[in-house]
Amino acid sequence: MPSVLLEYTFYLALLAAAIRIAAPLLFAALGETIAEWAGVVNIGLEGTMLMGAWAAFMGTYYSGSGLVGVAAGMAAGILLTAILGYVCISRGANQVIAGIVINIFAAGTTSLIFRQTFRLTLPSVSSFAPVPIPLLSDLPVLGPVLFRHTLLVYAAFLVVPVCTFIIYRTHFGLCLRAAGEHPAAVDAAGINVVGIRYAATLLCGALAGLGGAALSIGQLNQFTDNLTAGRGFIALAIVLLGRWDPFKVMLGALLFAGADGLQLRLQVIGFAIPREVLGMIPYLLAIFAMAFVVGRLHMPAAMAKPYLRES
Amino acid sequence: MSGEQRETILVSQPVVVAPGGGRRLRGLLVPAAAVLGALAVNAVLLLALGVSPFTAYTSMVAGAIGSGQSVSDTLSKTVPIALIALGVGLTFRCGLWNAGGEGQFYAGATGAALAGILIDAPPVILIPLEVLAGVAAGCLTALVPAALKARYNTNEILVTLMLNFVPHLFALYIIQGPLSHGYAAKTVDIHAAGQLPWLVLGGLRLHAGLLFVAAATLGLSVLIERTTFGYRIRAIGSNVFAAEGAGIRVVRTQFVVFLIAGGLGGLSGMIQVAALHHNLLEGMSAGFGFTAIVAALLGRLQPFGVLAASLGFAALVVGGDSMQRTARIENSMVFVIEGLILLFLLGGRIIGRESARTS
Repeated sequence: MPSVLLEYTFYLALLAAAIRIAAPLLFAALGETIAEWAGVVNIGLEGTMLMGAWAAFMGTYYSGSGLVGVAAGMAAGILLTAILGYVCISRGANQVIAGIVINIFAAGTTSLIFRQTFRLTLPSVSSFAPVPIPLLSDLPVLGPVLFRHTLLVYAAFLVVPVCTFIIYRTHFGLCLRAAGEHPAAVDAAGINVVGIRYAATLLCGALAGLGGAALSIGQLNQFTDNLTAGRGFIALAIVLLGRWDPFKVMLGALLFAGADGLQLRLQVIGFAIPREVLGMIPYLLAIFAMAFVVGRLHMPAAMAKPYLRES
Repeated sequence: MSGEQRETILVSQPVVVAPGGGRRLRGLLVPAAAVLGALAVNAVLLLALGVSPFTAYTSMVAGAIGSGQSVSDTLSKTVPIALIALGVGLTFRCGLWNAGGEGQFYAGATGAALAGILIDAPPVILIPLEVLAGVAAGCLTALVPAALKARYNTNEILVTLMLNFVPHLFALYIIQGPLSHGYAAKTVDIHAAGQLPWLVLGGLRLHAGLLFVAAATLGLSVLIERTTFGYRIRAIGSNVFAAEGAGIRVVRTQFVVFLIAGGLGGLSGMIQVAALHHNLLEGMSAGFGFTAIVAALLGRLQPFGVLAASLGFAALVVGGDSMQRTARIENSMVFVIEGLILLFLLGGRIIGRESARTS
């Protein structure tokens, strides 16, 4: 075993990395949480993140501003989920099929435009440097782990209490949960089920797009084909694992980010296990968690079912 | 709804394919319109990128069907897409969301390549062994979501999506490992005895994988339409609760169907190794697993429809590769077109329409 594994600095760096890596997953998983409360399952979360990552990169590359990139990422996420919303909410299409289609479409579009624009070059941007929080970042142990991140990382963790507040403490949140549980009752109460579901889906798109931005311009500073590499699927698993509760979703995101950070570090230090096998860890962990930890769920009753008034 | 039913994430019964009986003409016209619409929207995207859609489409058509060689390529490319799509179609028929074709393909390819490299035997022994290894590896990959679904009612769509990455990474490990070819990102070749023969028909040079596709299409067609097992699949697909009420063992049927699909996915990988590449090659699947889902849906989950759609998408993939070489237009365009076709079909409520509203 490499001696670096015995030093506590390794684990401090790992914790800091877990928080950094969690940010894109967290944004996407929180967006999905909101959509699923309203009864919309966005299997296209992977494609939405990818589209956001791509748009954020392009926006930053051409404007030189990370904020423009973030806005572009969110806008792209919203646009893509608007298509999903139209197909699933207005036209009553099956959400799984629509989600798979969104993923294929996003993978094709981002790759086509990116490769057609940049050909074989691999452009990069640098937009989000770590912003140490004054005083707090000087704390021993906690400082480097918690308070020396980019603005996007802080933002991801701030969205957690915001989501909790929206879902459990606002009128919109109540409508959201009701639309996912018993849409006909919501409709009978004179509230627009379709409007609520669209709002939730577009919010999911904005957050997933932001998650993509946090990955492309917030972490990797570049874009490549299929940059998200399954992170959207893992975010979907995190939502199940966190049982639609933003705080538990955050813990789930940290768990996966920690596993990912660990396997990446083990690859770097040349651990005895081949790097391809280490790379399987996040996916296997997600499957394991879904099978054995998630257990019996009580999910919104109208999950993944369209509500079509006229039919 | 009982608590038991509520626990499945995607318990609703989608009418994946709109009923077609008596409307055969419409059944052909609407997908054709969707394809044309997708090509039109894609053309707008190309124009925005400063690329001539005319150049793109003409080089694609020429690359896909312009010569004997390109027709042979298209027919060859139909093999992996059709085999995976037939399995995907079968799982969709009984309400299972199997998006794991890509992983099953890589598992089958890896299994067959290992058999073909490590075992030295005459063709009559080696080729069946490769088939066995490929099919078994594909089944094994499908066994994970199938068993988890049967035992814990785990959401199979997410498990299959995530399991796509695992066999792919394992294949990369084998490619980098002791069987590596050296400089190129592939393994050493399988023994000559393990290579499937080429069939020369007129001006076409085809590989024996097409025979597997013909057998699988016919076999599945008979299975679905003419056997009790097929009747159970159709019953589950049209109404899972009614099927359960009629005494059909839903969980068991779905489990078996999942394994059949996995075996077909594994077989597709085996054929690419044994007939075409003769080794395990990095990037040997050009997204076949995902194209297969599109083909299964466009083919309306009917074996012969799936075969026809697979042929069309194989032409698209071959044409796209050729377009990239000759016109320098990136072949990711293929996925844009595939996505658009299905979006039109979904928006037009031709496929994936949910049967009933919830209340």
